[in-house]
Amino acid sequence: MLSYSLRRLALALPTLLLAGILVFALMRLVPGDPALMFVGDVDDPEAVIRKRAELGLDRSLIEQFLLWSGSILSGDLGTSVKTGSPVATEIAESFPVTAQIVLIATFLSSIIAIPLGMIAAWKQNSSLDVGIVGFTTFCLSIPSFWMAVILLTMFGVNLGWLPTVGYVSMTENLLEGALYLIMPVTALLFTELATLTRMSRASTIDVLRLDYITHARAKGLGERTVLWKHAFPNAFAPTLTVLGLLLGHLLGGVVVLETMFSLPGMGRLMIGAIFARDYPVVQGVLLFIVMLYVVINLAVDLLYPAFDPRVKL
Amino acid sequence: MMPMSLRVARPDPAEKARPIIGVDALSISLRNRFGETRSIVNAVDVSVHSGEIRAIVGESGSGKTMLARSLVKLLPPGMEITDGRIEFAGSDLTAANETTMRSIRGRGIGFVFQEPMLSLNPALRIGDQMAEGLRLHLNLSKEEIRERSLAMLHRVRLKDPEAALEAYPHEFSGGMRQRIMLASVLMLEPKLLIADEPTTALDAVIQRDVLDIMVELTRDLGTALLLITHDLGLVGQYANTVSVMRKGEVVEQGHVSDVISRPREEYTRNLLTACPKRRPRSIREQSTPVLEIDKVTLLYAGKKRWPFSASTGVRAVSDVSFDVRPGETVSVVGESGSGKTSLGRVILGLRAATEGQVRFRGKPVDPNDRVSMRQMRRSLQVVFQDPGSSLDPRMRVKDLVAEGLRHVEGLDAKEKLARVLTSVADVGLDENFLNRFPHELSGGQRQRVAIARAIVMRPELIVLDEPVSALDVTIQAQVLDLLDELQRRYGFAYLFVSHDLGVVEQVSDRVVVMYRGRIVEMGSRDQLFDHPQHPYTRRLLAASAEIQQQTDGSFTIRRRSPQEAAPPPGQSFYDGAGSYDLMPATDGHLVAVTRNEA
Repeated sequence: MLSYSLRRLALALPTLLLAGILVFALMRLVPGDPALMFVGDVDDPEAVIRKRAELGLDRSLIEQFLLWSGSILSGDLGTSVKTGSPVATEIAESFPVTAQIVLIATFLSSIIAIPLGMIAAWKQNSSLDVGIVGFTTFCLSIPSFWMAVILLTMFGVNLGWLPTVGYVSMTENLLEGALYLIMPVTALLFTELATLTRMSRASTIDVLRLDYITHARAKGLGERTVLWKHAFPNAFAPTLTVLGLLLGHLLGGVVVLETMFSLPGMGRLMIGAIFARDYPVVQGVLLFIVMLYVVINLAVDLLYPAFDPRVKL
Repeated sequence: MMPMSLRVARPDPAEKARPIIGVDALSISLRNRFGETRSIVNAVDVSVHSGEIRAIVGESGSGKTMLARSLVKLLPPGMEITDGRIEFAGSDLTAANETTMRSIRGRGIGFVFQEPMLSLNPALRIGDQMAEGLRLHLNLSKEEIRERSLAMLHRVRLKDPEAALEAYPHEFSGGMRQRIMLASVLMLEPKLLIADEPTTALDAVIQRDVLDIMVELTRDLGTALLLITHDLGLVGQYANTVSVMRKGEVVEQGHVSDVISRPREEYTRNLLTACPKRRPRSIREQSTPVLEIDKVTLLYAGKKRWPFSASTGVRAVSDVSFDVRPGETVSVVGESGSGKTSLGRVILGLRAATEGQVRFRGKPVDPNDRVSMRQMRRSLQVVFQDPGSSLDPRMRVKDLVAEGLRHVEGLDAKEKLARVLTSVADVGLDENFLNRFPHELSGGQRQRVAIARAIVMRPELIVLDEPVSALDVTIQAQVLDLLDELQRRYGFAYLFVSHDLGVVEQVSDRVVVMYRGRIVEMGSRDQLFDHPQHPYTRRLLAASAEIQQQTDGSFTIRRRSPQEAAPPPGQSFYDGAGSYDLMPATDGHLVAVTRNEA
């Protein structure tokens, strides 16, 4: 298992290199000059040139790329052009915000959606099944920004139960921090619910058709044991894969929700950096996201044998 | 003649005694979502007495599986018992609720399914799966459960039961899994065991082992056995009584000896005559071989852990040589893992031989030479085992059959169409089938389309990879007749790959027996079936029943009991280790031997 993890991480290196080149090249293809953005609408060509030299933008692209990748290899993601603080610090500050929302929402939606999907599969084609599928489709059709607006108006403005704007870290003040998270988490949860329920339902239907389920019933086992002991471990594996992909996708930043609820997360950091042509931040965040995907998928693959002993790492 | 001599002798079940299970005018219907019903089983009476082995025999669609499942009330969704009574141990199961049924399932009635690869849960340890039933039905401590499980695994002759308890199903072969299934089901000592095609998915030799164990255990435990099968050979060897089912009805039932030797019903007689039998084959004169297999070895590279590290290979085929002459049928037989399928892939040019050469019409088959491969494939066609997955579901019959003709030059559209029409007619389908899709055809019709697709090219050699093993016995007989007729009409040579010795006996001129990648014996059909030399060939033969029709029209089913043969002096028969030589036993009859160490 250790050797497998090491091999997988080693295989991630070419991925990171490729992603690095792509990110670097794409950023430079986008029109706009960071130096010009920084200096602003001042008619001072000298200042722009000075700034360009300071940022190293006067060198050739190859040189810029080598300098950037060299500093990354020595563990330095660079400094933000806009704020002047290290990119690593910016990520360290914004990632926990996104991670909190995404992890809590994903955890909650998993423990709701997976049993829900299994029950729908168990009662396939009954009115309960139709109800569950209908409900999740409904959830999926609600755009998250609209959901956010509704939540904000209802609980934030009209009822005044929850704070509307801002963010308090849960490490500083657990209760208050939690209050700020309720609405973003709820909004996100609804979008995840549908995907996971449908995945869980589909894979459970496949498993329930198999002989070993009939055999379990032929032993005299009750439906609950059949469902949880015999069907669940086999039906969960495909859902786990989807869960991993979903998590990687969301942890990279939930831009719309972060914007709606004014949360200082990764999504907003990224958007801000793109508008400001803040090359080091964009590049740093993207590399971090790539790494995140690699790690999450590795974790999913390492978890696989726990549910399917046939899988050998 | 020793008719049915190996069937386990049992006390004749007293007819007057109360049966363990009695099914009385049972009907099962399938209701679709529009509320329409279709009858699946119609007013069936069946009973099994204590100590009896009753076989229910029928082809697919006869309702035999649904009848079996209805006895434990585990019918698939949509199926329901509409009429009749199931009496088990004095109570009516049709009226029983789920709780009662649960207490009967496993404890009163045990169930073994067809596919051992699918009926054990891949995610749970063997020990857990065995313990489950005991925990549920009996009040036992952990140690007692473990002890009983070990004892039972020992009785089904599993090596190392201790380790097996901790293992997962995928670590065992099909035969071993089916033994584990038997152990876990019979451990609860049910009064009745229902076995639904318990060995259909297994190789002949293993099939016999598993059935012997099953019969022995049920006898020791006093469990009655209801054996659902399509195989009359099994019925003749193992069962006391038999019910023949057709289209949801029992057409004939009674003692096996009566039903099989003197079938009263037309359908039973059809089933018996459809079983493969030896037929005279005309001996062909020696001519230039169309296919030569010359010392072919195929090595599968193993998986590499790290780049550049050495891989461990698997030798699928070792040093195999034989040839096929125009117009003859050569069969390659062997159990799974014998390398017969791998050899087929090399012959078709789907894989390059690691060593040696396959020559077709004198030219080497080389998968890397695309131009010559394309030419060769026109005269070398293949028919696969499962017509359900070898026909593209999105193509119509006429397009499926015509597809190969695309690359034949000098044929205009009209001529091509004519060829397609002839080929489809040749396989016994009429023009109405031309515009159908594969899913609109039955299994036998699909296989006919697959054959039409092969013969439309007018090939010289057709590789038939288990072409009839997915088919019912009556359909199988029709397809075999068709192949025979086509061979006589067009002079195709067949390379017939199969594990079914009955079929091989019927169709072959010559037979090649493979074991662990090597040829252990080859010779003419009569040499091999009448005077088998190698112990493996004898084991294969002993595992298959022989059905014969006597001159008075009655039938007998018996196990083959080939006589033992002695190896040549100073040598022993090759058994997978040591030196390997193919020595002639008689003219054209070769057997693998090992030189004894001096």
